[in-house]
Amino acid sequence: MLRWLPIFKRELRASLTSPAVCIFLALVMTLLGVLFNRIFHFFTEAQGDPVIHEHFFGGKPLNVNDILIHDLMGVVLTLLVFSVPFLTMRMMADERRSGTHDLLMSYPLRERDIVIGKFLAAWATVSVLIALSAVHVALVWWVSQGRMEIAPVVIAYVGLFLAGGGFVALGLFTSSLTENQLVAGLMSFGLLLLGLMVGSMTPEGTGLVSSLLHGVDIHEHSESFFLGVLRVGDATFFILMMLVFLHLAERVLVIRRQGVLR
Amino acid sequence: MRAILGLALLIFSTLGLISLLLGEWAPAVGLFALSIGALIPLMRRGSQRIQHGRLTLFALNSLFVIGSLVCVHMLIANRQWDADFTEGGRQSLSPLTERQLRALPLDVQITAISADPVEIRPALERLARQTGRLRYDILHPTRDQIGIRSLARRLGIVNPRAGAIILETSDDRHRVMEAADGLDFVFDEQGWVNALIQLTRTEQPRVVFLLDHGEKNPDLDLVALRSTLQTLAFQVSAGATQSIPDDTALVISAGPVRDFTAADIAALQRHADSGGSVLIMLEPPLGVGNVSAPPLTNLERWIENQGVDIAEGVIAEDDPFVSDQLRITDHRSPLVSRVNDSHPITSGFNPHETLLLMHGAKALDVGDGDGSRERTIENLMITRSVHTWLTPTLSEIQRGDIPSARSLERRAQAVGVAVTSHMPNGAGMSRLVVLGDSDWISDPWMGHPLLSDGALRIARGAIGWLVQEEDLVAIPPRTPPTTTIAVGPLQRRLMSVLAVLLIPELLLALGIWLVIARSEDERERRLAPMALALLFPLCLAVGIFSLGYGLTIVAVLALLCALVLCPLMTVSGVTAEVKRLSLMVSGAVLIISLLIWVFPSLRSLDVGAGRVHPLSPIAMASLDRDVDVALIDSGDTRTESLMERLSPLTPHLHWQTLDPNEDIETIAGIAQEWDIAPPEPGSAIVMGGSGLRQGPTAAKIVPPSADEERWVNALIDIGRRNPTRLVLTSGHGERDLSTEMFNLERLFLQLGIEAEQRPLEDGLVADVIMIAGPTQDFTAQEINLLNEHVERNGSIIALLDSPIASTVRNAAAAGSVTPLPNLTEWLENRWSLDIPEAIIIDDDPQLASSNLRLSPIIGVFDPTNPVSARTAADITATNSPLMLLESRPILIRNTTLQPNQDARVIMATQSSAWAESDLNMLLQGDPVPNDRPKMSLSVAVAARIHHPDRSARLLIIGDSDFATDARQQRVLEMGLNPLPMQRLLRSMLGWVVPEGNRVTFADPAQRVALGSDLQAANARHRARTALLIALLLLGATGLSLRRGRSLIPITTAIVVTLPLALWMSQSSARGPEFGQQESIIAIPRSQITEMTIMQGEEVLSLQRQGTSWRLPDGRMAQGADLLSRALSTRMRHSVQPTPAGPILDALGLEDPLVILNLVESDGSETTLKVGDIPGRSHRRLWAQVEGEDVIFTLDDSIATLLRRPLSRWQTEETP
Repeated sequence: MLRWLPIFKRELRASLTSPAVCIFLALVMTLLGVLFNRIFHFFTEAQGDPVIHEHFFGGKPLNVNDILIHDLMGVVLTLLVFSVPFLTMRMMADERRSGTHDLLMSYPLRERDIVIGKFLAAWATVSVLIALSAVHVALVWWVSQGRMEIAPVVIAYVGLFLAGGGFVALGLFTSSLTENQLVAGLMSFGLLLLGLMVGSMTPEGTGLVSSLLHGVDIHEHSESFFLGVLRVGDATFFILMMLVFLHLAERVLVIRRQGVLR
Repeated sequence: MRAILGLALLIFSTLGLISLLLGEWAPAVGLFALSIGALIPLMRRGSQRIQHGRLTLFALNSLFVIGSLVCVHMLIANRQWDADFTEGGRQSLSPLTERQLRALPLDVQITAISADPVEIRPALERLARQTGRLRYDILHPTRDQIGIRSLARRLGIVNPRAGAIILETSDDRHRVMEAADGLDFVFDEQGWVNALIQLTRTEQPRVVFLLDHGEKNPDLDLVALRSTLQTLAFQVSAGATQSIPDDTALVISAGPVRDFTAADIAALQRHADSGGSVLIMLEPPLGVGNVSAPPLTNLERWIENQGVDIAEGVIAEDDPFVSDQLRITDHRSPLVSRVNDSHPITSGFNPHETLLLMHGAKALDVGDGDGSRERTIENLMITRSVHTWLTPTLSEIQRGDIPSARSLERRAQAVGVAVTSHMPNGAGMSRLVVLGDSDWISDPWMGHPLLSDGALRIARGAIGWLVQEEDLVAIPPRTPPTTTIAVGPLQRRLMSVLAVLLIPELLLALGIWLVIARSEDERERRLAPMALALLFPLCLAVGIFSLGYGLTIVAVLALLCALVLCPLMTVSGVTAEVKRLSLMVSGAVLIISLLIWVFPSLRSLDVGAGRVHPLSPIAMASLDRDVDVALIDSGDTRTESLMERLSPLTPHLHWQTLDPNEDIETIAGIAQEWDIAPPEPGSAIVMGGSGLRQGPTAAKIVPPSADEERWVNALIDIGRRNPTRLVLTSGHGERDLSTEMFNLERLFLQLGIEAEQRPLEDGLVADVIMIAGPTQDFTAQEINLLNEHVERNGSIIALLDSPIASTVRNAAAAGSVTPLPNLTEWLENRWSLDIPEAIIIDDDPQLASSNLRLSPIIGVFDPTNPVSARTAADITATNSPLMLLESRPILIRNTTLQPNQDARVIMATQSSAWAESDLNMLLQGDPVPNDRPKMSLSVAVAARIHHPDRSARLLIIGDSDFATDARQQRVLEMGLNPLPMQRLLRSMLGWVVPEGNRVTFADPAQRVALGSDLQAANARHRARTALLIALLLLGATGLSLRRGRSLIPITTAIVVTLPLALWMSQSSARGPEFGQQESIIAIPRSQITEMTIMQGEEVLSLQRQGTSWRLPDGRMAQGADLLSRALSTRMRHSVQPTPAGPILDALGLEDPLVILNLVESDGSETTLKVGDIPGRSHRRLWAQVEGEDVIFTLDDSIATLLRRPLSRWQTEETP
């Protein structure tokens, strides 16, 4: 049942004790800190300046959840698009490059266990990054003197964790396709970026193509979470994303074991 | 296997077909994908090798799994299993809306025309998810032209614009919702649902406006209310009381000024008895001399019979919010402060977020009624108790008869009462709402951007309740509560430190610890990664942040560490000692930098700042009264730095920094004293006129800004006794300042310009006359007044629209728009201009494609004129064009320019424009003629007429639309930045106001060094020199160590840098001298032999013995300090440059706290009196040398010493 556990432990230990990961997290958190300060600055400026209020927030009521937390979550999501490929690109590709892939496959483990173990470890690492952003939320809570709704924030984090899972699964899949880390990273980054921007590049309306493309828009599916609404359709989108790419990754391992792919 | 695949193909394709037929396209796509997945291996039968077979299986398996998952997702996604966790479920539709949408009797297609569907699409999707009867489509206004035209042709809609929402039902009814002025539609749940219901329902209640008692007309005065009613699917008509149709649901009497007759009352009662409802909005006589308006005896008696008491008099108010924020100063406009939350009309209405203002209101109350019916009577809303009272007429207020703040006359006044009358025997009920005022919903007040929302909300609520269809109209807005965040400077700094530095650094430290833990190298070698990974980013971040905050020296030190010391630690040839030293230095600099950053008091160490714009000294020297500035600290030190630079330029500027958390009481005290709203952190209060002969008091809040030009002008505005006075003409159809140009009005306030809109009349004295978009001509007398104004060197801003544009817009009234012959002739002759009656059309293909040919692109700017140069810079910075609309050309007639005149074209269109004067072509919408010569046309001219002392200025622009709020809002909605338009207005004002009154920095980036404080300037030079030497020496040391400890680089560095450093440190600071100060008492210290200090009745004498001072009993005293301080006390400002005379209290000064008497060796005495200046926000002292004419203000550096209790002088001395 828990045959994936050793893989999970090994990968998680490797991630969390990796100086590169720590330094990368530090870089991402610096970026997040700068962007957070920027958003916060505009929010406080908009309180006294109608022009900024109108220009940056469309004159909408300056609610700390609907604007500050929502924008912060949007930034975290965007940073995930950039950072998850970095964290996942080596997971499968590096095994093959360093030759440990064959060793791994010689263990009494099914491909599914390997994929699940690696996926959960990477998801846990990404979750650490997501959880670190809670410091910024806590700062907002502090300066707003507690006038922040907690439930929508929790829902926003649920969305971030689900999105993070989807991103990790995609990254794992691209990593399983090639032994070149860079190619794997670039592939997953490109796909995630496309998923993030496809909605804005798609014509509007209820037509088939438009609906299909909007249907795979990551931004649209995460928006409801960030506004504090748990929409089952959006949650299943990310769960689906995880299942589909995990399945594909497992299939790749299977046919690779069978020698169809090299 | 093939059988299974065949079966799968059959099942999937059949299910897909069924889904498609049911209109469920999404599952259909998934099922068809599965079908194809099954089809591929079937088609490859017999030829596959083993690998192909496995690949096919892989593809098949994957397709099957993915298809199944997609199907599951699609099935789940279409379900309404959503949970809204926001407060009040504001991200979801209200249950009422959901119910209404699910009950839609017809299919509805919504088509939105929007260029930016970010807001509209989620809203439409939210509605469509509630019902299968609603579908939507979004068309782009330029990309989907064909679709829009086809839709318009099919439905017979004329030119649907961007922002339009078109609703169509399956039975071919349709409705177009258009935002005002083509603005993009904002999702208004209530409005959209109402529109849907209106479109799909058949019955329309009738509302009748009464007109026979002088009431407001729905077609003239209440257009907004009428439109709202029509939006809500009411039949609106107007008529007389005695002819109210039987099927009328609601009768509205809005502001009757004549009484109802007995027959009218009977008709009204009949209507009520038949179950009809009545809305009466009273209108008390408001004119001060209009006290003889006939009383509404019958109507008031009828209302009282219904259970509503009406008080005598009018509600008066002295609410500072109304006067300061809403700029309404007539004392008759009370704000509603509390509402009855349990009543459907006012339920959910928050008067603190949405303003509701009455304008001249009667006070109402719940009465007993005549007892003929069972009635439920409820107060709806009341005014603010501390700011409202009843007054018989407004004359009392004008006479200053205002009750004191604690007067019992002040109390909350009810301004709305709702009555439900139940018919006998349960035969239904009728409803009545009485409101104390009718202006609140009239069009002029609905034009106020801060008041319209509240008025419409209450009007909708009242009407919905009255027609007993609360569900239809009273969906409370689900706007999120505004969260005000007031961040103190410490909080802000901590947030920055924590978010940007601390967390990343902790992670970085963890990473480094991991490296070190894994490393087996020697300890010294670990310094390299430590330095690069930990210190380098920290120092770099501190340096960059400090630069941004204007902390130059901190920035330089931190960057020095980051860029020199940290790399030094990684160089392999450098000895371990040097590396350790570098590490220690970097760490120390980092700690000091962080301390300086966190604690502002340490920032005085920073000697890096100190340059001002060349115009600032001149402008600051023109201040002629004291200006006190209270900066509300926000952690941003740039404003403080600016104050430090500006304050030496004038003795009149005094500033202090207040902490918004610690100095709450001081800030509140200042706000109360100056009658202004407490400012936000980062902003500042600028106060003037607070002392003796300082002129009228004036204060303003400067928003957070370190813009030197803005601050200089703010200080000028307050620091001059005569502020700029601007008159905006009226009476010729000009743009209205308060309703059309609210942004401009706000700009006037910001700039401290006293602006007023009024007709041109004799005796008018103004610095600037502004003519904004007149549609009727000026009379000869008014032209004479303009001439006189110019002769007095007054300036003029003229914004003239093309008369052709007005004609085109209003084709029916063609010919009725006058071309303003008098005004244009005067402008042409007096200022040597040529103003043709034409309209500029720009043939740029980009404009033609988006129907903007009447908005010519301004492409030519005069770089020598500050107005156009600044506008050009703003256009470049914002990447947004200056959007004029339907403008006219303004040309210069060079041949008639007089020697004392000059005129320059400052802005012109690009070369694809022409001036069209063929009215018929425009009216008939003929295609663009090709024969018109295209050229660059001038649209703005700056002209001057020079007089011996000064010059009169004219700035004329061929458009007034750009100055209006609607146009600026439109530009914003188009995704462009209205900043160039707003800044153009600002620059225009800067250019035309009297010379010397305002300063416009043509090149804001230009700076000169201040020479006011040579010592500080030299210190800066020395600091820079030291830094340079340190840099070069460090670099050279690094090189020396790198290259095998060779001494050549370091020797070279010393040889090069030392002479350079010596030269730099010897060079004197450049710049003019400003702010010369002088000592109050000009006596050589050695000549003082005796000193007497008098504090009230206590006296202490000190006598000099050699270099020491002794008490009368021979003990030593520390008098040298006092003497030194007294002799070096410098004046900060001369309060009274003319003889002050002996009477201090006549000048508002209190008796001296301390008198210091100095006796010289020749026996002559000098007496210095020092006292407090009472009542100001921060402490200052006055001082006068007895017998001299001048009284000075002092800072309180000497005061501490002088106030020292005399007993302490006697006990602390050593014998």
